[in-house]
Amino acid sequence: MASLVACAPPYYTADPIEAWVVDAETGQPIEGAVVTANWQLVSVGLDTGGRKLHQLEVKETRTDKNGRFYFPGFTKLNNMVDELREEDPQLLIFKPGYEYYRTVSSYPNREGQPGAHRTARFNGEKLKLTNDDQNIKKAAANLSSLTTNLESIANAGASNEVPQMLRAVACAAKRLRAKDSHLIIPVLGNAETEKNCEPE
Amino acid sequence: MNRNERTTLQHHSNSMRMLLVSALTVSGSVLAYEPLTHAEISSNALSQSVLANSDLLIRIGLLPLPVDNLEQVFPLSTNQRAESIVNLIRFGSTWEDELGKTQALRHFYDPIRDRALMIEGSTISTFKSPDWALEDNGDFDNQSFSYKDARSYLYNALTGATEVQRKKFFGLTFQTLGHVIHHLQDMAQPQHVRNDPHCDSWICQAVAAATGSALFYAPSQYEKYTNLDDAGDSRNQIRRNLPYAAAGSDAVYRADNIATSPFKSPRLWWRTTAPGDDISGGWGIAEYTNRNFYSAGTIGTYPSPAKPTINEYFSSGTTEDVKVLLPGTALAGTIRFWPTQVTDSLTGTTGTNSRAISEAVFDSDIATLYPTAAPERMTYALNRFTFDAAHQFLIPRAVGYSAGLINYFFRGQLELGPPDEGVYGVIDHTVENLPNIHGFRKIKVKLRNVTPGGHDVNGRAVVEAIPTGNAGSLVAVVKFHRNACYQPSLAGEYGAPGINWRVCRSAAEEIAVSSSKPVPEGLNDAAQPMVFDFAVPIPINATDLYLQVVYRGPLGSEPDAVAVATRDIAEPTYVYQYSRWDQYLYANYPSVDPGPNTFQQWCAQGFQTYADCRTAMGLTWKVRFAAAPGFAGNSPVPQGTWSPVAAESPFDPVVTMTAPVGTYGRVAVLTDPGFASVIVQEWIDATHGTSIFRWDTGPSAGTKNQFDFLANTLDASRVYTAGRGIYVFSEDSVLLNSGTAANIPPLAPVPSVINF
Repeated sequence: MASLVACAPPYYTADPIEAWVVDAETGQPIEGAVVTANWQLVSVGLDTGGRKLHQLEVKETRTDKNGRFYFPGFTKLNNMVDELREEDPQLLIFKPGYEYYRTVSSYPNREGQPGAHRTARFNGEKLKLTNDDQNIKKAAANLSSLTTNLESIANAGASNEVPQMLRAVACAAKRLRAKDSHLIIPVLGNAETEKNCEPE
Repeated sequence: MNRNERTTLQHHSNSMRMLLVSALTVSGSVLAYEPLTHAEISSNALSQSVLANSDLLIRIGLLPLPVDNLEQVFPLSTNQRAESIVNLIRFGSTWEDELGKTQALRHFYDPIRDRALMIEGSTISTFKSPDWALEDNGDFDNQSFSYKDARSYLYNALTGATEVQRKKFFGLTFQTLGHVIHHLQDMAQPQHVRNDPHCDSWICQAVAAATGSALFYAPSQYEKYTNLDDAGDSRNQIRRNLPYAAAGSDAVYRADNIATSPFKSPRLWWRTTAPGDDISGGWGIAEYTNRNFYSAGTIGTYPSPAKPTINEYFSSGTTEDVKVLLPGTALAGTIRFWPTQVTDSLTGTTGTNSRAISEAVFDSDIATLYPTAAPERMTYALNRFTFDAAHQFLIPRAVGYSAGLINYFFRGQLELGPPDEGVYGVIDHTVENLPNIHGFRKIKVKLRNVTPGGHDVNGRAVVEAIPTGNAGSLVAVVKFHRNACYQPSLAGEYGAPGINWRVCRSAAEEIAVSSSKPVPEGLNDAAQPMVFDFAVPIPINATDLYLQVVYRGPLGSEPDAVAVATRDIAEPTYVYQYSRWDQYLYANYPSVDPGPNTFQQWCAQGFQTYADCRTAMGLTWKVRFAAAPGFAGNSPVPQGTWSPVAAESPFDPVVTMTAPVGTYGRVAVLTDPGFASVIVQEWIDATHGTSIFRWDTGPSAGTKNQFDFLANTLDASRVYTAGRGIYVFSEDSVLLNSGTAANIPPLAPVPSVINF
């Protein structure tokens, strides 16, 4: 029985990712959206969810005029203790004026997880961004939640891999705070990150 | 009973099976109060707490910036980066899960049996959540983020020797609070208070397979579902839409109601009933969650909530159409739910959780995905609908208890003001004027405990008491920068010619800490005078001064608390007087009209010695920096008029400056930016029998050269210019640079008498 339980593979291969970001309402491509993908390694822990200490890979890009983005594939060694789970990758998309977009894979349990070879389920798809509704508090909560999803990247010491996303979030938060100084919007980065932000 | 002892009721139909598999399978990761969920709960808790109020930040000596401001950051314990206050707390609340492989074993507490997590009868490596989080029942070698640690970190942040240390400890304080409130948040996850382990790692799976015990590998669907955040399916956007700010999320302790709050010591946040007692009336978060909510592995195994009886199974459940439950679904069918009553002892309310538990006729399908579960033993189940229903109660409570504990942690308040003398410190600047060597070694204050304690039986506001005596201790702290350009003549003061504060102001904030003092009698009732002594003086060239008093010791029922007051005081402010008769030529004595005589020649005509003349023509200033009886508007001797000294009311000066002609006296005082003063000037000419006085009062202004952190500016409140060898306020330099005599010498310093 024990022999049926697999530890983590010694390497992981991720297929290239190509997808398009569009406005959910109009279907028009969204240019300049920041896109990050992080392949989250999960370390052994005795609670559900494990411990998110390391990243297998972190990538960042922006969509082109057609809303397209592309991440090349890769193969990377793994220590056989940490494993990839649903965040293979965690995809985050942000463009001011829209709710952030996050998606991950969906595996019902460990037995349902693929092995060393991962293909993003959204590859080749149109990913629809929803306009935020101009509600400042909701927009602040949206940014806070996006920061939460970026936290495991920062905690793994990989903030430098996503500078455009950190800056975009920090600047969006700064613009919201200018409208309502009582908003508390956690953002990552440092004081330099949010300097010289362009007005909305 | 455990999950293997569940009652079995089989209600199978093939079509219903398909529906249940679709409805109950949670797509996405198998996570619960995953670290990221903790981060969201924590930042919402902070929004509900006193940390969202700049008053607290000022009180503990920080800049009154929003807690998310990236200009006020402190390092994480990992030293990876510096983070804002909100991020430090968020980080702590996530890092608590990441500290080690077995960390989760410290995050359980069963208030019914007063136990840590017990798996197959063993508690090896497990600790009760409050024991670990508080360390109030003993220390753990590898625990650095307990409430007890947070107390020490806060004290060190206020008193640490270097700015680097203080920033480090402020970072640890906020991060550790995140670690501690993580535990309260876990106590709002039913599995953590009902001894329901839910490991999902491959190691646990291997152990479960090797031992045959399902308890070792039982991923928490509740935690997985709660953490879902997937824009690809609106039904899976859970975490970002949790009811963080819903009713019940207000801080359960508002820092002003300790008298009526049940949370008088940290452990009570977990449970308020005594171990072994019935928890049905308990106010602790572990008691609330345990008695009101099922967890996947404990349906029917705890006294409350009870599993529906057979009669209830057939009579009280509600049936709901899946198309209503899942709008847009192509599925057809119904799901049955049973309600529970959720009792909140803290609010005295009872609410109905209409979807507390669901029928589990599709459990056999679930069991095919989780082979360690025995399908024939599963009847009732928890699923996304019951989880949604539980969230409405549990998430706001996780926020409210977390916010409350933050408020409780920071509740200690002192009120700090000047002593009766009106100044916090005074030195004779003609004697102690060397930079980095001389300074203030004694600080006097008036201090009072103002920690809100609610109201007494007469409705009178009372404080949460600090015991007097040696149970706790008080220290005074002065934070400052240095003016590296300072000179004893005051030529280097900000505002003096050619002085650029950007060049002169030291970058690092320094600190001076007094020796500790016991708590004086009456501290809880009225402001008490206190004297603090500094072995290392507050340097005379200090700028940007903040005066704090920090208490550490028992507060109310908490054995080790910290209370603090911070006051932004003025920089060393110079008070001086001089006599300049020797700058002019005079007619023959006693006329003071212009003439051919030098002052010395004029003196020789009316005094036996030049020294007698200089003394007689100089004035004595007796200064007090606060109001004094007999020197007010109704005084028999009007303000500003010369009268016989015999009519002078008794006066207790702090400083007595006597300046014979050609000399000056100067003291440096530490004051508030604005203060009242009484100056009694006496003119005593023993040779000619003159003995008169006059008095004056008025508001005075301390020197305020406060650096504006955000604007990066500093406006000097005084302009200093040269006059007779020293630097004085510009209005005085006009006088000191005038005159008709030749070769006017520099003023000579004369010591003053200080009574402080």
